Amino acid sequence: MEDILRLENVSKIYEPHITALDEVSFSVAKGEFLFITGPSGAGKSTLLNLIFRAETPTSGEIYFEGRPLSSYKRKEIPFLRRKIGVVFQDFKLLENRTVFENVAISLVIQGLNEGEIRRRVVKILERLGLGGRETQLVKQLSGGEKQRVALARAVVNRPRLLLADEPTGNLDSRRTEEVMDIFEDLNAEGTTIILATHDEALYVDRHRRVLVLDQGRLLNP
Amino acid sequence: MSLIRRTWQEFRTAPWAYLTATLVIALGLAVFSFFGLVYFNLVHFTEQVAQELVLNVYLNPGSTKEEARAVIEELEAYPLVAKVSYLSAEEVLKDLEKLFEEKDLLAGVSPEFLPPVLLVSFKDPFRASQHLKKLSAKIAALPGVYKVQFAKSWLVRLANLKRFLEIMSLAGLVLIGLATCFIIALVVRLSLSQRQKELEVLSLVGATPGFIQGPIVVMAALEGAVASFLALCLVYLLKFYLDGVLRDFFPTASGALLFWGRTELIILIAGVILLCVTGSYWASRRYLRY
Repeated sequence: MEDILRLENVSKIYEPHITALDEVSFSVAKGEFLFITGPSGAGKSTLLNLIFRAETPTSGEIYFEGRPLSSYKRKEIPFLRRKIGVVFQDFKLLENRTVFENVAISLVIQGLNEGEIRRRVVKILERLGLGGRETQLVKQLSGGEKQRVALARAVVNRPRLLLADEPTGNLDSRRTEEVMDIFEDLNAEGTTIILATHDEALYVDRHRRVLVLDQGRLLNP
Repeated sequence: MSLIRRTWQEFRTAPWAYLTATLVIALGLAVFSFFGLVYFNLVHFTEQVAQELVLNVYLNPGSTKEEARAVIEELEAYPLVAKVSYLSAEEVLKDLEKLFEEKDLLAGVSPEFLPPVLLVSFKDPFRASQHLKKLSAKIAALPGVYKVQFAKSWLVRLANLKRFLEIMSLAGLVLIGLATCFIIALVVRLSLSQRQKELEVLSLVGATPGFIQGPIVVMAALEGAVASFLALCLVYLLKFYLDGVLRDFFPTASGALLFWGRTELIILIAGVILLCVTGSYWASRRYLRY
């Protein structure tokens, strides 16, 4: 199957000499559901940041849909990010905006009309168990609800690749299972998913490929 | 979504921050434009006083009109001369009669014994004062000229006063101008730093710099325009008040204080808008993650 993502000898060194990633190479096929695991500080978040160009590697190259990310000009980066949905570990939600506004951002920036935006946002919120919460401010939500709003924002524009950084970190076991079911559904619909987690329970028995990172090195390339 | 609508949303996200920023900018600008007006009025005042100091060219008593015409033509050929007025011997006598209350003092004085006078005023008296010595010597040598007199010492004093005012006020104006620029840049930056997270999130979810910065830059332009308008209204009211106060102090004073002309107003407003726009553009650019 064709690769959607390929990393070749990617390293990331923070000055003066902290090696977050060391010569990491792997590929992700279109439609794959990949887990990246490892202890805290292993480089999971750094790896995801490099994939959607929030940061740039110190050396090596990342290819998205066959094109090297280093070839993207500054003005092209927003269009790259529209193809990649991200669920951030710290959510990165706008606390003083409503649930609807937070999720709609991903569609507003693409210039979709209001009717279409409303239809798609309401649909994804209902799917994630947030129906009827559209007008509620994000700061009034619980950690688990915020996590689901973050997930809704990441998937509402139907990205080709979904990156999720500890997406169940704030959820109880029942909500964790629900969110994982949503990831499975999205994957079944064709979305490629890379999920970073240190929670072994998430990937055990799922029969998915799991990459293990430790101190910036890939232990099972 | 249209830029206007997004700008309105932008305002609604932090209305107090924008209003406070506008007021602070307006206040800084009011101080700057007020001191600017003080400077221009002081300089204008000294120039007006200097205009009244003229060169007196006394012609020989009994000079003919042709001789006077020749001297006038010679004077008018000089580029710095603004106006030459001719006072006949009869008019000189009338002026003297007005000057002296004792009518007996001028009894028996006939106009034939009095010299007609040419009153010469200059376009730029301070510049002309540097050439007056040479000019008066040249004029004194003309046929029909009896004597040339000018208030050089007063002109020099006024020129020095004007120079002093220029240096002092201009230095103050530059300092206030720099402080105003600093305040504007700081206010714009501070109001945006509160929204650092929002700008960062927008850039991470795929918004283009134009989409993010468009409403911010338009809001900054509006901020600059509203602040300029408020500041100039405030300074105009202050000028209006000072006009009344000065009339009380100097009942004979005719003119009101000068206010900014159309060109200066346009430059001032455009400058403030430009400063706000560039300030917000660079401040917001720092928070975008591309």
